[in-house]
Amino acid sequence: MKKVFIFFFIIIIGASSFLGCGKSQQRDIEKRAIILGAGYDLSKEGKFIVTLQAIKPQGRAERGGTAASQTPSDVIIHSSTGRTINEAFDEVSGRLGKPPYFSHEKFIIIGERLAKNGIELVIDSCLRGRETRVNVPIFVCRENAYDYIKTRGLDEAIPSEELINIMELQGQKGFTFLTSPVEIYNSISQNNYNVVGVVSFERKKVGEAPCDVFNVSGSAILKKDKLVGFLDKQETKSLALIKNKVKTGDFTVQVPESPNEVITLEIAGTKCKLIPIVKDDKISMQLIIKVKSNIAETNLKVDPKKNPEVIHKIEQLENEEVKKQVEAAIFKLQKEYKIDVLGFGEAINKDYPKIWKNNKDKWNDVFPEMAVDIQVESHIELTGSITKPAY
Amino acid sequence: MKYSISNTQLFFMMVLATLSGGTFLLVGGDARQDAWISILFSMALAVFQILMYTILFSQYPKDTIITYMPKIFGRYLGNIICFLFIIRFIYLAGRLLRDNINIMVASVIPYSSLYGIALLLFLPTVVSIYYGIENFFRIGEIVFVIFMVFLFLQYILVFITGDIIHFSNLQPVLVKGMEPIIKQAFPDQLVFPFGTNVLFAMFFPFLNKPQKIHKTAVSATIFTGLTLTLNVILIISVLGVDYALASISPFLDTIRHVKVGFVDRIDILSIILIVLSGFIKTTVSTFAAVIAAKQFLNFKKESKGLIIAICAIIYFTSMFSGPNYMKHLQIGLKVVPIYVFQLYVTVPLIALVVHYIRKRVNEL
Repeated sequence: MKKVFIFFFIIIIGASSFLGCGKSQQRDIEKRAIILGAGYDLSKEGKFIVTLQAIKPQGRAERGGTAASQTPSDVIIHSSTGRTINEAFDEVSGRLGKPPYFSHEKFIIIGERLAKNGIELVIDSCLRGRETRVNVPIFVCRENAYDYIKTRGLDEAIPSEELINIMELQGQKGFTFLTSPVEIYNSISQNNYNVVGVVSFERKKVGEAPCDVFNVSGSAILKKDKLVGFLDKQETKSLALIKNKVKTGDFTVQVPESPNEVITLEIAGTKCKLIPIVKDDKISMQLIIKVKSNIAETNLKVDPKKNPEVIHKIEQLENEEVKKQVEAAIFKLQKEYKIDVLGFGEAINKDYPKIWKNNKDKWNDVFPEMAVDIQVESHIELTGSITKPAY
Repeated sequence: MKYSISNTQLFFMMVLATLSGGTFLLVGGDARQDAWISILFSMALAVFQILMYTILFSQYPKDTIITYMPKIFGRYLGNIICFLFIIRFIYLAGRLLRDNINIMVASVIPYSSLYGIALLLFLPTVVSIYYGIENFFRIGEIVFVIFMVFLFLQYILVFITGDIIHFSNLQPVLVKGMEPIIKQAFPDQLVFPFGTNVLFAMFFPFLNKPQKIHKTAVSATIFTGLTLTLNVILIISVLGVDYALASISPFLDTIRHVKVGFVDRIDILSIILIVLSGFIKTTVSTFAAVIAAKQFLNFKKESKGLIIAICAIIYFTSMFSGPNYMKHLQIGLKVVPIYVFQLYVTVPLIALVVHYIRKRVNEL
């Protein structure tokens, strides 16, 4: 009895191990187009244009050759249109004979027209069915996304790799945002604003031949899922400072008395706290920004070793500089765009839920009139390997 | 009844079985960002729930639910209650099997056959039951170590990744007061996840130190409650409430955010956990059903026919527990608890009262 039981057990286990091998589930690596980046656009007729950057399955392209203006690339670009996103993908796979595979997707770029129209469908399709990772960043570009997917870049054989490296580095410096679909999902369902990074490229002369170079140009503001405006690099940095996203980067401080003397301070860490203050029905916001930094370069003719008080003076200068930048960004958001990307509403909701409930509906009128008090506390820790410039 | 299992083994099993479903789904989602408070609250209630069963057991030290219910309520009413318990255990095992299959199919191996995977996942259960209680509880020791190491490794990795945790997602606290929390705890959370403890009332007589049962059961409940609280805090602070509520497997999505140096895409670790703990929970409930049926039908010896019959019923229940996964979840988390709550909480409460009245009357 026992032997018969074990025999059947082995047979069934063995047989069911092959369950995944049906023809319909075949997922061989050479039968899938591995996608590295995807761009979404809306055509004038209201159809989706999908541009995919897929890796070339066979070997590397030949490198070198002085005549080549750009690095030969290891990727192929596919583009197609469809009434829905999946229809467009179907067209691509119909042409290729292999379905796209999204697990290695590095970013998603969304064209300006589609972003203004609403990206809800993109977010949904990306979170729902495909193998896209939940933390893949979403970027917006001016004009059409397919231009960006097509761009070859400067030195990497795989352009998506180069673009994502640029964006990640700039994101740490606070010049752009790497927003995941999950964050956008949350802001859509909370009827909130969100910021996403903006990519751009320029045609530059590198050496002899013209070449496309990616760069970062600030961020874009989404109201729910619709694009409402752009911020430039400096404003983005201030916004990132408020949202606690700045990890590295630097501030340049000018000494007011002698315009030739500059100090560059390298950021070692930042922290921003939003403290809502409610005083007889009037809401104001207090920002406490703490910046930790080291001196990276200077030609200021002082010696902190002999006179440590100088450091305190530089801290004061940095305070003013940071305050000036943040004030400018807040002014633009409050008075010009009149939208609360800064998360003031959320901060009030978190500390004073009842007051937020009363102000929720008229928030668009309350926010631009709000008094904002910015306090910067800089702290300079190190002076680098040397203490004073040569003078 | 010569089997004996140690109290530690019981503790391991209780923790594993409760964490099985509780960690991977969002428990207490209706309370939104206060889900963690609602878990702590229902944990306190669950302690009293399991104490009812342990006190009943200490009054009837050689009996399971199936054998003491007729003694308390009389033959007819008692047998009806026992029958309901057996139905519940069989149905629960079927549902759990379906849950496991669905998580596997939805997030790891799409396009695979449900029936085939169900067979593959259920066969180890059948074999464990075939080899008996002692062997099965010994598996628990190994699985517990693997499960806890992997689970806390994942929590630590989430913490190290750092940037992804936003504790501000948990604010504002208690914005709607205690009402949604109490509402959640009462029918729902005492059945899922904490109702799992009730299954173990079927195993109490096999313990080698039955006098320490209160301590074991209560500490297991508190341990699981605290782990679930940590779990839900992490899920909500990483994903945000709205996405966590929309996601089919919030825990997997949380783990997918982990990126520590070159360590990322570690969600396969959580799949291992899901399969392992799912196996444990399914087997516990199948086992409870088999023991219950055996005692209900007064079988003296181990009956292989009974095991095969009940396992076959469970296998087919899993296939027909709902037309689609959403309906299956809705039935399991919203409809079933209303009835099962009566069976799991009201019935033992009445049983306790009736028992003490009888005792008093007999003494007089």
